[in-house]
Amino acid sequence: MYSPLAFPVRLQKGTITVLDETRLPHEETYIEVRNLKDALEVLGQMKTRAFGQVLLFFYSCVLCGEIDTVAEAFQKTRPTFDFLQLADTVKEATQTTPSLKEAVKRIVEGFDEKRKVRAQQLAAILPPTANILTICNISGELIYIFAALREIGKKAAFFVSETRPYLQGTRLTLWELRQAAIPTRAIYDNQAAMVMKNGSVNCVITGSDRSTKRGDIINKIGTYAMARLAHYFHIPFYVLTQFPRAIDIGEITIEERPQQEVFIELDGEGPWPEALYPSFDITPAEFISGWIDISGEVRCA
Amino acid sequence: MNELGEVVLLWGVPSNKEITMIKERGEANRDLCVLVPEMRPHCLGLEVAKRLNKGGIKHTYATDNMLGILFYQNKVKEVLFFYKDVRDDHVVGMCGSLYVCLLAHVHNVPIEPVRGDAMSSRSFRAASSLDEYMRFQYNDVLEAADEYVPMDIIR
Repeated sequence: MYSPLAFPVRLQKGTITVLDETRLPHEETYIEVRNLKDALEVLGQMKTRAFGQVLLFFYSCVLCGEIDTVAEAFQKTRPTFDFLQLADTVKEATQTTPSLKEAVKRIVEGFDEKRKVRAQQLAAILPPTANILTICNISGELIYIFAALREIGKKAAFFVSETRPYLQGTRLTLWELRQAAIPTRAIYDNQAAMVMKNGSVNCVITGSDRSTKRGDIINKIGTYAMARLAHYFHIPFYVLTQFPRAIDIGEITIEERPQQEVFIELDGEGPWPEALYPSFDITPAEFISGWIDISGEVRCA
Repeated sequence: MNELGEVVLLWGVPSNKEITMIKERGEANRDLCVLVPEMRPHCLGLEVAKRLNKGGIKHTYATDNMLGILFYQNKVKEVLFFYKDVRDDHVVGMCGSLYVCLLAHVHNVPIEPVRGDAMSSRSFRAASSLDEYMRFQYNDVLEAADEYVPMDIIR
């Protein structure tokens, strides 16, 4: 089982190729990135995100032969994600492997392996028949989780919240899970309460763009509502995290994107009403049941 | 988002009479911000926004999954729930009604039920080309039925 979203960005012969996630599921096209300007354009236009933006950052460092400048530019473009921490990871790696290219290669290979291990750890604590509600897209990791569940004799089916306004749930997650012949249904974002109430789902799994040592997370807009409702219905809510920091979640900038993007996937040409577009929301630790970190640490509330 | 005043969140479709009521509230409280959620699948929020425009009421649009953060930040002061019917100790509203009412309930935000416009959402076409794609590609239509909200949540 493989999803192109598991490795959406690659570095080959001095050029970065980026899977254009905004074109999925209609077509699988790739964009060439040759310098930092191209990379920032791809990043700002949401052509790639999640694990894709992590890879894009690593490879941009290789392309530019520079870490800090790239990190600052990435941070400015997508202020909620912690690119400065990724920069620290690269710097640390270059202490043992002086070649930037080699250091990044090692980090990336290690990351994928860690994601598979994390999937196995999560699979171990999920119910024997896991009916999983999810939001947005976790870059192929749900496929790893499904495989890990199957390996230990557990069954799984997914409910995917469509994730307006960019519809990453329907365009990416539904697409990748269906491609892998995994039982999946899409729901409208506002149906999360209904599928919890009628017993269709018995757990929730999401990714996180940021997390703190205390257990608070920042993730795609809609995550907080999902966690709060899961808490109300006593449904466990699990989060995949990466290297939580000892910070106050309230200090992190929540990116607000241009309001016209709210209508990007709708038919018609407007005029559209005045709109809000916070890209992310904060979910406090008290509404989360378990944290499965890329470092291998598993914590349950 | 920081500039939002006291948010009154509209869920469902208000009739012309109720539009007048919303306008009066806005005139009485200049800090009031009328929030119109999208109301998937048919994006009825766009229709409500048109009606508010006609009535000269300033408003802000948000997708349904953005409501959580507004409750979290204590922006939402009241939900006006334009329901369709009352049956068996439940208030019946369009798809998503349980989502909105439960979010209000867990954040201790009052919900005022008001009988809404009886217009059928079936008269609206698919709001996104992706909806059509899904139908074609996966032979999959998401069902969007009316939802029953227990009366005790609204009280």
